[in-house]
Amino acid sequence: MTDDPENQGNDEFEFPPTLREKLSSGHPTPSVPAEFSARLLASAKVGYALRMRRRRIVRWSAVIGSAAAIIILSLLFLLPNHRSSPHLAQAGDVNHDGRVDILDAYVVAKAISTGGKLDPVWDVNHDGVVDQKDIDWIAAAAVNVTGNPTGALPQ
Amino acid sequence: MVAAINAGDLSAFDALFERHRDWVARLAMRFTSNSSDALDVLQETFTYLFGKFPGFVLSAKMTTFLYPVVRNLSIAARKRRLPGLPAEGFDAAGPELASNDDDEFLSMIRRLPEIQREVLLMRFVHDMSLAEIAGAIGIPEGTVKSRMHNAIETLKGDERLRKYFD
Repeated sequence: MTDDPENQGNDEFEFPPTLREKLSSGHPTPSVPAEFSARLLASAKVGYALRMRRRRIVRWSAVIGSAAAIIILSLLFLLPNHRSSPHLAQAGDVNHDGRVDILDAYVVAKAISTGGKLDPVWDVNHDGVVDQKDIDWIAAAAVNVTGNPTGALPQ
Repeated sequence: MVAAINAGDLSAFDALFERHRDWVARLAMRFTSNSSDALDVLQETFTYLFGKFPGFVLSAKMTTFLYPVVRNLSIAARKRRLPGLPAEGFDAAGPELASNDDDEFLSMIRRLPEIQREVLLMRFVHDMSLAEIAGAIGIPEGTVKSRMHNAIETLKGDERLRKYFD
């Protein structure tokens, strides 16, 4: 544009000023009502503010979501195993290490196979006898991911 | 101004609009030959431009960016007004020139090939630099120069206009 210094002096074409004026006057600039301009600018600013707000919401949602994910993952990995309820964990927690795992099943299996002393609390299926079914129950509870070891009881 | 708006400075909207309003209005008027359509195109152009903020990256001059926007919106506006108008063969000189046969100069301009007339008008009516013209219509700067040269030579070659070039 004419008032742009970058445009000055780059015109290597000679064009008579008279013709330039004729050309220019043949293409008038329509008048733009002030009210029209004001309305357009107001609308643009409202739209801009909405987009800025939406951007902030998206940005904060991402931050909050990431923080929540980190907290949940931290709880899952750092806190003790929550997959078994305290009552059932106690029922199968033969070695009293606070969790029901395959080591508990191993302790019972070893005691049965070697003819060692069988603790009555190892009768986790409450059928009156400590046997292979109790080992299976503890093993199932150890690998159960539903939080309900009884649901995984072997038939 | 673009950076200021991206940074949240709303007053820069006014400055940007103020700076390019008349340029866009004049260009739209040339394309549409109708002041009502020209205002519609003006509004749509700035709505489009402002809608790109925040996050707008201007990789060329603003006029280079705006020219094709105004042109396409003007074609759409003219098609709305004149539904039979083909998309191809859009006369960038606008019918205002085409209807004004009184002036020999304007008559000569009308008879120039469209590709020559367009660069001439972009340079001498809309004050765009050769680089801006090249960017706006997507052709090499050398081609712009060639078209401009041919247009001016054609005008010079007309004996009715020779007096202006002497």
